[in-house]
Amino acid sequence: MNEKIPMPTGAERQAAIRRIVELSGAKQRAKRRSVPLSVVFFGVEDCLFLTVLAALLCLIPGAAVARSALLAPLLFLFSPALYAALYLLTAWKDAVSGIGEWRRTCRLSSWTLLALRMLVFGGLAVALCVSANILLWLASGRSWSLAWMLGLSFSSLFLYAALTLFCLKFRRGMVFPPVAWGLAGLVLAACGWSEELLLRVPVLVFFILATAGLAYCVLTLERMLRYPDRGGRFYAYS
Amino acid sequence: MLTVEHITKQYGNFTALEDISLQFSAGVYGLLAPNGAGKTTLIKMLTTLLFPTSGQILWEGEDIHALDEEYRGLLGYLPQEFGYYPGYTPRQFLHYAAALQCIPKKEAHRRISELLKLVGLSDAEHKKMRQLSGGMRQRVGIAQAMLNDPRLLILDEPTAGLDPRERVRFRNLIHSLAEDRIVILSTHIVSDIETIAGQIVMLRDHKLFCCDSPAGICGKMKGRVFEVPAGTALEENQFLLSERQGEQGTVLRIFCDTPPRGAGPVTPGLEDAFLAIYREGQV
Repeated sequence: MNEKIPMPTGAERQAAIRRIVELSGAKQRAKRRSVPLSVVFFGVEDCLFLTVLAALLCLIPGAAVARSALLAPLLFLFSPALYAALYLLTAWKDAVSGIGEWRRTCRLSSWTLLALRMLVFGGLAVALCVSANILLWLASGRSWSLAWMLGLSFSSLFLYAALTLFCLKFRRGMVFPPVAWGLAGLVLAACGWSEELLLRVPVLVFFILATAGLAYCVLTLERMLRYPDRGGRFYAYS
Repeated sequence: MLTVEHITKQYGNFTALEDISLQFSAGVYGLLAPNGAGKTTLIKMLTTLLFPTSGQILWEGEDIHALDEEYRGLLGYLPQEFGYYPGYTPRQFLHYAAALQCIPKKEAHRRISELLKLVGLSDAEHKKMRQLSGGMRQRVGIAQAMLNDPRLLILDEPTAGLDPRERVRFRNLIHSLAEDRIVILSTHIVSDIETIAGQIVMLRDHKLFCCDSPAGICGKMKGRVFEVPAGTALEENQFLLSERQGEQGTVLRIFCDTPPRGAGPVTPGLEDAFLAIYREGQV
């Protein structure tokens, strides 16, 4: 019992440290796996297609209001519409098909899948926002500032996306962001002074808000992808 | 080895499960209890879908929530209501499930062909899921649960919707799969597990009632199950288990501690034990 345990030599200690670092690196590398888009959107392709189609079709009546005073509140209201519709429709389809339960028991974290979906939804929403704003700008006879329109659109989109991710992270419900945005948009549309108010906001302020929203989204999604392990602790029901 | 250590699950003031401790090693375990006894709650905790309010579940000594994807990678799970996308074929659907289990494509292709054959769906592999019968879809679910060759296979009410022939096929399949893995099969249908489960876990009053072999459970009922002719008035301490057609007409199978007059004891089956344990009002 009194026998002394020999301490490791310097070389042994270095070898042990190297091994531990190697193992942790291998674990990290194993977790960084590629997930094809066909897997990310398996079963919900129809939601993706229909929502994008509906959004594109909405641009036709949208062009009619390009010159009206309602443009500003409608831009605020509809800029996150594609993002919101994609997220809600895919979540609804997953819930209806009952796929969620066994998918949460699979090796690939649901957290990772959700983050990848949100990234694609964000990309599609940005592409639609840019094209829709250019179209409306042209349809209005360039009577608005394109930078202002893009600023308003992006700030609305990214703040909405940030609110959605915040609610997702802290389990505040999926319905709260669209309801809150819908109500705010309707109030703005109903008030005669909303256009004037939104026009007075400097473009820089819109872009600062958009950048803040985007930064929150990027950081949250990056964490979701970097720490898929948190999925287990996160998505268990209670 | 899977170890459940003193787990309790509460939903507000309602205790769904109280202080459950179990140990699982390779073999078939039947989780047998009436509806509402907490089977699905226990299953959901074993599959990381629910957190226990207290206690822990360990796989080879490590907490399953800490193991996270490592644990999910060795788990095969068929939920009570198996969700699917109706517009896909079983093969497409299983490829999706394989991708979620991070199985390489080539290996997945081979494994899917094997499993479709095993569950008798080779002929239907190109039909849409919506065109399959309930039993066939359930078999897709079983194949899905087996995709990653799991060391722990958990099946929640797997025979729901299967016809008698499919049930027999399912029992044989589970029996053949259980040699080197833990299979936990939750059901309230005694015949599903009577012949294949090495151990039966019974829950009563939201607590663990017993974990014993079918023979052990039936042994406890020995000398307490009797058959009397139909029409015999039952006394207060005699509990009617079931009726069956005997050689001399209908007979009543009853459970009581003292033999009724003119009745001989019969060999109790697991169903007798189940009915006796879960007498009216007992969940």
